[in-house]
Amino acid sequence: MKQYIIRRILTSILVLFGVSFLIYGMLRLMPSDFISQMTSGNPDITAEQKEALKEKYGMNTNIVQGYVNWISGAVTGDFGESFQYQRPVTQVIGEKMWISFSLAAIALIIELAIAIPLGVIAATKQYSKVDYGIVFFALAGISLPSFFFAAVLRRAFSVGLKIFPISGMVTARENYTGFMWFVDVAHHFVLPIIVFVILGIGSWLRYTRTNMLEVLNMDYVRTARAKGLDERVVVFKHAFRNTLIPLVTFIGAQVPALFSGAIITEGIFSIPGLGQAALDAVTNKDLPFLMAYLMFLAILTLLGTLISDILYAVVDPRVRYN
Amino acid sequence: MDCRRNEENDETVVGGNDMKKRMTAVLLAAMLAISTAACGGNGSGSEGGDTLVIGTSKFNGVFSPFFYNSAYDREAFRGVFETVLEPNENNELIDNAGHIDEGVVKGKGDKQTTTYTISLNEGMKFSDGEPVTIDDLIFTYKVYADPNYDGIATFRTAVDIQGMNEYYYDVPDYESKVKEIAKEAEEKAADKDAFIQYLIDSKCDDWFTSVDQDPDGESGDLTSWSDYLKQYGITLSEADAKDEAKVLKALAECEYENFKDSYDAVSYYTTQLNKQYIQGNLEDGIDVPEIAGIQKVDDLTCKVTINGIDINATRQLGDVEIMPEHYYGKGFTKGNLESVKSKNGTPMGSGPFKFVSNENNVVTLERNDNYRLGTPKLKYIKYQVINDEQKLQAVMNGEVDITDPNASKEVLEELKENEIKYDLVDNPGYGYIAISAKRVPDKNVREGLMHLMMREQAIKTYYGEVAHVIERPMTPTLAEYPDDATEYWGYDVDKALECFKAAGYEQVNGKLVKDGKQLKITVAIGEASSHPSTPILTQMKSDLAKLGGELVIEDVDNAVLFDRIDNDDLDMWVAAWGNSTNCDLTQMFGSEYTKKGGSNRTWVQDPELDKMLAQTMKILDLEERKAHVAKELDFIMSWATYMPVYQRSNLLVYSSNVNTDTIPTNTSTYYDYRNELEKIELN
Repeated sequence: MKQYIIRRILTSILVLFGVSFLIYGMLRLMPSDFISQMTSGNPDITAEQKEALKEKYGMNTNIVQGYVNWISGAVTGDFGESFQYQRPVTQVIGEKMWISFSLAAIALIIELAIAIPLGVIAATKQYSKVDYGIVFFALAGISLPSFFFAAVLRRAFSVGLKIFPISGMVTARENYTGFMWFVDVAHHFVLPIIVFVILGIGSWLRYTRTNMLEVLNMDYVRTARAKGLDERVVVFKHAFRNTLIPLVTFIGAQVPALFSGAIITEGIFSIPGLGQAALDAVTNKDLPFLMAYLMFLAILTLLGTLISDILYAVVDPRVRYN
Repeated sequence: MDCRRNEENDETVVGGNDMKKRMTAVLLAAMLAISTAACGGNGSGSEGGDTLVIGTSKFNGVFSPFFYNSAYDREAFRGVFETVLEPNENNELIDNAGHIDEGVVKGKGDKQTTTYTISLNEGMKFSDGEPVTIDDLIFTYKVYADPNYDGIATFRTAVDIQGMNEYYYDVPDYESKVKEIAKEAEEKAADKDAFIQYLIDSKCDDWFTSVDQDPDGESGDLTSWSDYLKQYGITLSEADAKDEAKVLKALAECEYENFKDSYDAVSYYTTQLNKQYIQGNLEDGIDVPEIAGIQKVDDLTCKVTINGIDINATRQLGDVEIMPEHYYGKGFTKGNLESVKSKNGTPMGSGPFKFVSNENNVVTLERNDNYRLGTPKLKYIKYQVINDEQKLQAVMNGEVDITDPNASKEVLEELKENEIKYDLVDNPGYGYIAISAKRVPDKNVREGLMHLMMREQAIKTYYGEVAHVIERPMTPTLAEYPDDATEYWGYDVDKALECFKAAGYEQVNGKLVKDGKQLKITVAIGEASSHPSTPILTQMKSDLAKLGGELVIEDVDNAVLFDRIDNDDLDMWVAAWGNSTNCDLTQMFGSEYTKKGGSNRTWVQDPELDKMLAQTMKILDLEERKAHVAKELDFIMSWATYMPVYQRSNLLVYSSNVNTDTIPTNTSTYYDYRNELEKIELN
């Protein structure tokens, strides 16, 4: 096992180099750049000034040169300074990451807490009214566009009932600290989390249902039933445990999504998370930020698959890595 | 075995029940807390009464006048600083934290200079209690003038202060050295090999990116570099056409032979030589520690001498935030701005408010008890980031007190319906449609196109009363705009046809052709689905189609649009200028600025116009200048490259929390509540 993990990590490093070059190349091929973006529409800036600025921002190199500069910094942990924020990108990502993470993690827990039981129920009552109802609910959630659903929620709860704030992360008018601050943030997070949950629940639910159905048709389930065990024991002890195996690996694959942030939802609710920042970085061509952000996601993805492979071995004793 | 397992399971079940209970309790507590907070949010808390919430857009967190790169960052730090002068509602400069005497002109011709005396008000203090002195202002100028300054301010080049170049290049005998560099650069540019080397090094000014690239972007008929080179009689073998170095070399030679004038080898070499030169100069220690033209007189006064006459100088010198040297300048030496930058996130100045924090998308300012005009009325100002679409709703809900939603017909109707107070002011910029005189060299064709633009209806439908059509390429918010200007071209399809015929086009089988080629114009517009000028283009397209020509409308991303404009890749495009504070149009229409990177992308090249443009900034009398600018603008219009389209408005919306009696009644494009933050009160 140890050997396997080491081997995986080593290949991951190689993959990261490839990924980083690809990303860098693609970002550099984007039309326009930060300086043009900042100076477009400003008639006072001269060509000479633009040239000097590009020089200072290290943008007049060719792709290979630029990549070498970037990678030689990156391997020592120096990912450069964000053009927009004028601060080290690692610092910016470090701050915004936890906001995105807390939103996504809470949402994920709620999603799982609702989706798994519902999925199990739907599977055990296949083709019943309950099953159709649950599947309909799941599909409706998946199909809702987040911006539309957010607007509906806002109309109902912020504008109409005035229970939740329209957007933001804290109530600007107040100077809350400590526990009240926490409550205020929680209050602001309710609507975005509802959006996450309703939109995200469907895929988990369907996944659970499908896997559960598969397991329920297994011989050992029939055996358990034949033994005369209580149906609840059959479903939750014998069948559900085996459904967990694919679910756990699926959760592992979600790790990057927890940190990456939600571009649209964060934007609509003006929450300063990573998703919103990444979108701004694309529009403003903030190269160092995008590089660090995408590399961060690449590392998380590799890590996520590695973890889910390890978990696979943990939950399923038949799996052995050598 | 089985027994043990069951026990284990029983335990888990018990644990599970316990967990459930605990979870329920936590959930209940959270819900309770949330509903309490909801109640608290609606009523105004004890501190709420003296906190103004301003709805703004995303911060980058660079709260420094030196280095900010977003208008919203600037908005949030404006209250922290004070400028020497500020514009009034008519964009004329008035005294603020100081005063600038009218310039004293001396000498004649090339030797002419103007000296300005700048004095600061007495007794001013920064928010940390330190006094404001002229050294702070001089320090501010020096940061902008620093050789390693990399912000977007144009102070160094915008006004010709004596000794500025000596300071920037750090050499006492700058004149001779610059001549030397210029000479060397010109020599290099004149040399064929060096010129071709420049084309190769710069990849033909970044035109060339790879061998597989489409040379004229998406618009033209070419598909490869070999096709392009073939037009100029250069044939590449198949193997060579795949070799990057060979293609680039052939291209460089081709460009040298055919388009040498559109490349700027001189500035390239000048920049390169300068760079080596500045680095070399700073490395051997600082030779020029001060800017010669800026002289301290006493603790509150200095004199600034500039070369020649410049109507813009007072603005450049006076509309500048006074930055505390003891705070930003700690550890500052010429050429090293790290210490100045390290304060980017924590601004400090002498304005009515002081910076507290930037957290969770909210910037907090607290009143400055040391403010020169007395303690501000509000205790806190909070800038809350809010999505544009939600700005109006947030005001109606009372979450935000003042904000600036995009002005549109619908928003205006909603404001009136809900009796919300607002100010509608002109935006200091304008929208236009441009035609490149390089890509469409025949003026008759350009005139024909101008006659096909129907602006009035498009703008009315899109904007209603929040925008109006303008007739000259300058924002009417400037005093110099000729208010009596009438329509120059006018929509007239018959006249358009006449123009095309004058250009040599004939209608053959329903097609407008010249030398067997149909008239085909490519126009690009950014995000056409929501652009006010789109109907103008669609109308043009159908009119031109009726005449037998073709207008290709390309809907592109804004970044792509600007990229293609810069590469002279478009016949026609739709764009806008922003934030104009003066009537200098040199960069947009001066011949010199047709070069790569310059702003004259319509390729207006006219020595007579160049003279007029240079003259403008030297006419001190407003009426005289106005008459001159009117002539200048007519001249520009006659080139048929620029069709000014609309002047739109900006909205400022005030919630019922704000005591609107404390909002300036003379709110305009250049003067609004931001200039009087200290006076604002809440109801």
